[in-house]
Amino acid sequence: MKILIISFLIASVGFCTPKCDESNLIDAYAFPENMEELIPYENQDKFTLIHNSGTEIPFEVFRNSTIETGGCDHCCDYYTYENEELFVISDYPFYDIQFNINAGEEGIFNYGISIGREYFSLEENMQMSDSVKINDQYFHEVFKLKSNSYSEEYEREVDSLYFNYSTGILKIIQQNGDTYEIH
Amino acid sequence: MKFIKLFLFASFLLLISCNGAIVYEEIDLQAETEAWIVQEESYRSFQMTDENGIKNSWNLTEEDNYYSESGSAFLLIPTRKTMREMYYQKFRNTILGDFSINADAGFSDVNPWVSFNMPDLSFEFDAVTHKPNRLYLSPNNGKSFSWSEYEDVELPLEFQVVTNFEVNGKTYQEEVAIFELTDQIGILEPKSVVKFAFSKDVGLIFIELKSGLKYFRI
Repeated sequence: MKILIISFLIASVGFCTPKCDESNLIDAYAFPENMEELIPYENQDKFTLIHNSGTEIPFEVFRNSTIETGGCDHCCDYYTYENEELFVISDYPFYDIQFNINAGEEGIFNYGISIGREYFSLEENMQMSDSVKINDQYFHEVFKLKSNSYSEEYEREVDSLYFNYSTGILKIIQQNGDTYEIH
Repeated sequence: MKFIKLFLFASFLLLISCNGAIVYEEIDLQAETEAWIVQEESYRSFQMTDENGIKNSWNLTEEDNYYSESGSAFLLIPTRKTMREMYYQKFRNTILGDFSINADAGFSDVNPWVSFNMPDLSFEFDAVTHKPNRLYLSPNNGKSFSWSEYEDVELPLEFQVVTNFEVNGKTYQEEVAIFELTDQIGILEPKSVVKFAFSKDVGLIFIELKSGLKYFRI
């Protein structure tokens, strides 16, 4: 009986111990070549949104480009993927705005924008408006995004985001009807 | 003689270790203290506007009315158990941060107290005398400042409870707690709260940030 228990313990330790002598990079996901055309801001770019009351809110963008590592918990194989984070900061109290873009398999990438607790994701083949007039300016190929977030814990605050790849954030519509438009 | 002393001591330990020797105490929130917790349904979600007309929402995310147990002991043997009532509410604001209020029934020899937690600050006052008990400032820059009634440091704030308080054209009849940092100690950030007013009637009614931006209850 003792031998059985000891054997079981040794076997358990053996199973739990990782056996990787070396890690293997199995894939490296990169952004498509035209990715820069889809990211509307350079590092330290500035822009202004105007609230419907007339208040101007200035923003500054900070970009962080990294290569991240992924893989499963007990695997020796791993992959890398290109990652872009954009932090949109204002001295005026406003929602935290952040872009998260990361490369995936076969040139596919995930593109999401969070505003406060709301998350807006850009999907491939998403419908866009050819031309939209915002604050007396015309913008082309505009995505009219609805929040993907859902929670019973809180009421939605940000309802919609108008966005295009060339200018970036064009308009934010709050649930209470307030709007912020590009200057 | 030594044996008698030992016997008496053992008897004493035996006596106080019996349940009958433990003093049980339950301290409920006084109505005056509990009144700082606004319990109306309409208060669970409210809006404020800044002086430029930009609105933001506060939503009740946590609420708890419970008894907290504490006790004292002699030679590791419990001699007193105190259950004191507390009432806690937490509100979330996606732009300004969280706000919470806690009313505590206190102890038999310590007055009940109320504490406010605002973005970058935590403040507690005596619910009977309305004197400040504690202040803690912790802006998001790694710096901090603490003050308590037991420390020999000048209190960098003014605090008062008034009635008939008027702000932004509205008058609040019930008691209003007004907190204002007089010396900002040079550690706060532009978005840190430096002044606020809280009404027993409707709760949070006014906030001022270090940048000077003011928010009013709608």
